[in-house]
Amino acid sequence: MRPQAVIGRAPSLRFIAATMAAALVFNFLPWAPNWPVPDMLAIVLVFWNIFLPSRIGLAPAWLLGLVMDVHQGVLLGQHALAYSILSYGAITLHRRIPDFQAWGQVAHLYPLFLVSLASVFAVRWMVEGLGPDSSLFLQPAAEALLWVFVSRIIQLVLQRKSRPGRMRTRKPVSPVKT
Amino acid sequence: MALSQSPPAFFRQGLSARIKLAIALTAAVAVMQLDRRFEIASPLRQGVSVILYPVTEALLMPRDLAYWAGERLQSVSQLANEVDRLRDEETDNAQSLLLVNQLRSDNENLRNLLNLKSNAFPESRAGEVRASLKDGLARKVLIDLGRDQGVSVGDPVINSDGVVGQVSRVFPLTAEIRLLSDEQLFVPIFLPRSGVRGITQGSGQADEFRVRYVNLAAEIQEGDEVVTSGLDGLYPAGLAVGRVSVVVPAAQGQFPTVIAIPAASVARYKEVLVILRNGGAEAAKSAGGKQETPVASASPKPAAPSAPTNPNAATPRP
Repeated sequence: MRPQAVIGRAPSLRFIAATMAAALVFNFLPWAPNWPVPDMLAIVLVFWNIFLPSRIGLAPAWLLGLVMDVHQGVLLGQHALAYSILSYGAITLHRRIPDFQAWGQVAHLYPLFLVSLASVFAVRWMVEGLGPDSSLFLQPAAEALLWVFVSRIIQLVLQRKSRPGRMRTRKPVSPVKT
Repeated sequence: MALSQSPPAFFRQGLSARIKLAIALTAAVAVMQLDRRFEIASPLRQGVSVILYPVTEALLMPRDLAYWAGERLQSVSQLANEVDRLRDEETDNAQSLLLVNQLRSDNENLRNLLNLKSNAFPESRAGEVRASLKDGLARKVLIDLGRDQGVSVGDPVINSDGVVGQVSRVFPLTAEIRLLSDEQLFVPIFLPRSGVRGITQGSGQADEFRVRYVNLAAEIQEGDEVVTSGLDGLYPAGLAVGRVSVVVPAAQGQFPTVIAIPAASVARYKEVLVILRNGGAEAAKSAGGKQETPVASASPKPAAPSAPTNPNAATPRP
């Protein structure tokens, strides 16, 4: 999306936390274990690290990664590792991504999600001796495609919040009756 | 760029992104090592899981509501059929139960005569499968029994059809079960028709498992029954495990590939039975100190004698 379209009021910390909480809830939904369901938390983390790299860094990504590890019942730290790589990549790409159209963004983000998921599979392989399956390639594709939609939606919400007309459309305070 | 309106800090920029990444990666690897080799990370996991518990339970509510509504809306004839079936089963079971009770008392008497240790039956507890863990590489489910109910790591889990799996991790209110089809679960088994022993290993993908390390000369056929051998002293001997579905003859110097389908499926029934190896000692401990001593003294018995006695029971010469 064009840079001028996203210039707006800096989002509140509460709004950022709300998007991350919503992403966590999405991930906690009882999905079928074998579907390549996109990791919504990864998507939201990449969004904030691209559009607000100076405020959201690696720390929230690392901590939320631990939460995901506990929820999935896997070795602690592997999602923390994946999300750290993801956030670093997003910060590196944060000047390029907004200048691209949707497919350009997908082309940039697919390798990023792929590398992050590959790190998880690498850990599984080294620790438990489990080989990767087809979701290694399918899930990053789903995530990159969904990222485009999710980023549009968050931007729309932000623009709505920062539109000047929103102040005027409020109901006028009714005069106190005497 | 983008959303922030204030320019970035000019002088106080903190650590560079690369150093932050290095710190994050090191910390992640350190946590992995702690989690893998020591018990230090366990309280962290337990704490976070307790905090997440209400959230995940709330998210399961719509699904449970749908199940509940579906059960209410079952037609009367379906329910009548089910009741008929269960009644038939009950009469069948009553007969075998009688026989079992008789054999049990006989067994007790004979053991007393021979001065053998008594072969106590382990306690068990019924639970329900809550959710399957979203992890493409492992096949695990979560049940609604936890440490508070006396479940401990390693407890075998069965249902009415046979072996389901084994408890792999215990939380205060829930427990994680590794299914038979998980790549990391091994169960010692016995094929009654051919008298062959082996070990199962899940294939990790579909709902099936491989029978490994079977005798090279054994002739195994499709449809052969697979039961537990009880050699590990963990699973009671003779429980149904599955049925052989594919046999690929051995190549030179290799074991034959034998693939079997589990008898018990958690997709069909949600109810499972956890066999408490510790005899619910911990549950008793939390319930009150009075029962602690007798239960604790009785608890090692079921596990210990079953190891030497079961193999003898399960080795008829082919």
